Amino acid sequence: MLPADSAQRLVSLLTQALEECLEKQQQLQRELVRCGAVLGDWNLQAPDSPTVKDCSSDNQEREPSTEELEELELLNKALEKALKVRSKFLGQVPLRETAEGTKALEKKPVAHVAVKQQGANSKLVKMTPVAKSVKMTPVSQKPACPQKLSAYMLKAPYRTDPAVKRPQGKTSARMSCRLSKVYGKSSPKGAACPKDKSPVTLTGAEHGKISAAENPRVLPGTSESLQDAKQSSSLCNSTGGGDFASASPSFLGMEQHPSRESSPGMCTAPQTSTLQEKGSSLKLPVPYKKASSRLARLWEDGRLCQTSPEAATARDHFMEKLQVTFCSSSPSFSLLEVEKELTCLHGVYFLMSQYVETEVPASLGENPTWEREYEILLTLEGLQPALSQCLDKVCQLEEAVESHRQLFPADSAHGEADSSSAEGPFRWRQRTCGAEAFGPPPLLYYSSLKELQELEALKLQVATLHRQINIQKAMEGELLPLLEPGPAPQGSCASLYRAIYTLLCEGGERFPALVSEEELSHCLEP
Amino acid sequence: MRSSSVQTSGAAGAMKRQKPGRSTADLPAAIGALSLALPGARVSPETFRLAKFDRPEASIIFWKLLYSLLTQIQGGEWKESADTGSQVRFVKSVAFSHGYRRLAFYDLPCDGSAGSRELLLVFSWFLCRINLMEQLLMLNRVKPWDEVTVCTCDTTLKSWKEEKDLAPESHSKGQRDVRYLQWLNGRLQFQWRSWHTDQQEQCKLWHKVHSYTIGSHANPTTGHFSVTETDAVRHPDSCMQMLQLMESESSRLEAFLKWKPLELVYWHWMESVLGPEAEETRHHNERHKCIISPSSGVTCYSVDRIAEEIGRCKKDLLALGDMVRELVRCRKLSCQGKVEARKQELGEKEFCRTVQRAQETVRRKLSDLRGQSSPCGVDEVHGPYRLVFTGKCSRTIKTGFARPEPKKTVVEGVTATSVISELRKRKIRLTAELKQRQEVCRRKVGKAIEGLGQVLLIAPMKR
Repeated sequence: MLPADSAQRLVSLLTQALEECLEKQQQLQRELVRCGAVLGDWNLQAPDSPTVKDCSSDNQEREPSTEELEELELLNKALEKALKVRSKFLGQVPLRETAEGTKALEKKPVAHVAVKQQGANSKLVKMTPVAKSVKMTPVSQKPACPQKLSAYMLKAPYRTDPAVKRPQGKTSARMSCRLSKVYGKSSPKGAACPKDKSPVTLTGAEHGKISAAENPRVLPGTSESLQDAKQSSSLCNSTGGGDFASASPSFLGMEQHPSRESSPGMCTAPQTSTLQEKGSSLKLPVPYKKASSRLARLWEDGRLCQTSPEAATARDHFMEKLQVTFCSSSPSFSLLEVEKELTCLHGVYFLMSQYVETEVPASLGENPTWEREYEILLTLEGLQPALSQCLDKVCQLEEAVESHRQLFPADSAHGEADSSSAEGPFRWRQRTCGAEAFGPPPLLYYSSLKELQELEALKLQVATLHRQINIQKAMEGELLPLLEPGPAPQGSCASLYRAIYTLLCEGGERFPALVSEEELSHCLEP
Repeated sequence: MRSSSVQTSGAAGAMKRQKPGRSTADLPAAIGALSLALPGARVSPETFRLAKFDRPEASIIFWKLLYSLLTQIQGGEWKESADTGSQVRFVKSVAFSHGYRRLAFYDLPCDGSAGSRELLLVFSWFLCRINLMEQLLMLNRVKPWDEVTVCTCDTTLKSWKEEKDLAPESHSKGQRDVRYLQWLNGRLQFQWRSWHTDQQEQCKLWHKVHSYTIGSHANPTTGHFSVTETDAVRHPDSCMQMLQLMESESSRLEAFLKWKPLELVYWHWMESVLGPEAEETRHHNERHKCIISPSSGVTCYSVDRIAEEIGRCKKDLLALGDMVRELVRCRKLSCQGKVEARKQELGEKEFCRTVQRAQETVRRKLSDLRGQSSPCGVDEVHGPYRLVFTGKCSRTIKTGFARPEPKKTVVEGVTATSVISELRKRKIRLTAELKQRQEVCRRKVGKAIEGLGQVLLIAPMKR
């Protein structure tokens, strides 16, 4: 067991690293999805706007949009009304009972027809070349739904969209995008609405009541109309199976038309169209081109735009006057600058200590050449001024920090600090180190995939090494004191030491073995 | 911008005294451009004028403005929900860490109800001190290109300091088993690995997009689409979004370009805002001890922590200095006799050459050190870059495009090769540091285990 406070510090450090890592990965995942979509089959993706939206915004669930829901709501209201009107003409409502009727009463012919219808539809689906996409299958089966199962009703209006749009697949990608947009907007209101009325009336709470009353009279009409639908959709309207019997088949007919039309269309269109095939012939949309070149020009202007000398003097004058009012003269480094300097001092210190390490007598071997020895002497001598420079810098930093410290009353020590710092400035993560030059972004040229991958891998390695060193330092600070001889019980001690050894000396990757000598001797002399 | 009230205001009157002429009329335009160039909600010139007269109604607007701008600068998350109190505390502590030392500002009430003039002053100070405008324009820019950020800066300190704030909720847990740490550590390693795979995958996809679209981009330096651009071609919706963002960025940049020539007017005006008060405060400051009151909401624990860090660094440096001094002394002793012998052995000329050679080697070695000693080294590759693929075929395309239009502005660029070699150096250095630290620990832990007695440590096999 670890002492609570040090454990807490380390745990929070590690979890923080983990969270950061996860966050980065999520970003990366989103990017990957986007790249994947771009590289995938454009014919499939382009008209299917909801899918793409899901990818770009990280919407996990594929919910219908609010617009779509609103439309549905309106539809439902209209349908309710229609239902009320219709229920006045109970005698003429034959179709409602298809689903219910088949199982409630022994109307086998109807059931048979329904199944047949289904079969025909699915055959149709198989014939269309696009059907290999998973998305397409339910879509093209939709026409069958109203006859078979009324429960699908609410899904119909927006699910049918892609089916309506699909004929566009053969046109060029951009064109199809635009067209599909138009289609997407109009279809739920225009084409889909009226047809959907009849299937929707089939369901709902009222369904049960109505069906009980109607059943006996409904059935002949139903089978008739369904047969009609199966044979030819154009005939349907003229059949005299009652208002509603005719309404439903006409719906079927209309719905089936687009999918029938679409199948020859899809046959002529190329089956897939990917970036790889048409990448080099793509053109950026004109407005985009314009906007981006304008932006580039503005950035270039911005880069060249300098503060005029007069303005600079006026500004400096103001700053001087303002800083005169500061309490006590400001130190040469702000806290942030102190931190930056400190980081870089750390780097210098480490480099120097490495030099020293390679130059210690032990690493020279028995008889170093004179040249080598001279080199070492020169190096060490060269290090001395660098070292004293560093020390000077440290002293300056110390002064600066001390001067900042003096702004606080002497007694405001750590105690209350922890409680009030929830919103402190030190919770930020610096996005960049602010070294970016104002202007258009600099370019990084790469010439092969391998190069790019190596670059990214190294970048990550450097970042993780920074992190690891950081964690290592923190652990040293917290765990090494635990090794001091203390009142800890012997038993847990060994395992604690073992864990500490693993964490501190092996980066948590390998484990040492700790063997009790007593047991060892037991083992050795059986 | 066209608000006439500003022109007739006292502010304008003050301007007249200082600098008669066209500047009076320019002030609203300058402020208008200034606030247009900043992201987020606009602050009207009228509000600035109110702030000059320290009107309380302007103060809350300025707190909000400062909070939103500074959170962006610090890379934090802008929380609309943050209450005024925490917004005020945040702004104060950021100002403090940047070295703003005007006590009157820190004494402002935390409810944000007063002090618009102080806020105007601190805002202008930030504007100049950290190039607020330029930084924000850079941070909020639209990036339709594929970006690689090569930043080897150490962020150690930044992440370390967060740790104190975190996890009051884990207090209740109290003690933790060390195995929990091991588990977390393992998870982290695992996460890093899967991050690596994802990244490699992304490289692959990027490269595909780049190489497939080579020759289609109108811009001759790039010559290919980025993922975003390809998406824009494929999908008008995302293109529209992009266009909107670009539009707003353009207008901000335009405002910035408009602001630049008008800047002078603003700074003159700011001087009048500061007024004659400067002298008074100085005298006041000389007489009184300056202390930021505890009620200000700014705390000093960050100062303490940095002080600790400096102390540690100093100790290390001193120890190293002692060691070097000692080594130099020894080395000199052992060299002295040899030098004479060697000189005679080699002859004057040869000896000089040898000495020069050695000096050259050392000079090169130590130049590394100099490169290190500027924070975020200037000469290093560093920051975000726009990724450009220069495949085999792209070269011909490039020259083909370049002929009709000689490039006026050369966009600076680096090659992946140079970045890679830089990163490799970095990696070697850091790996060495980590190994060294582990080695030191190994000695310490080993000793401690010896101290246990009766326990034998068998270190894991080296790989």
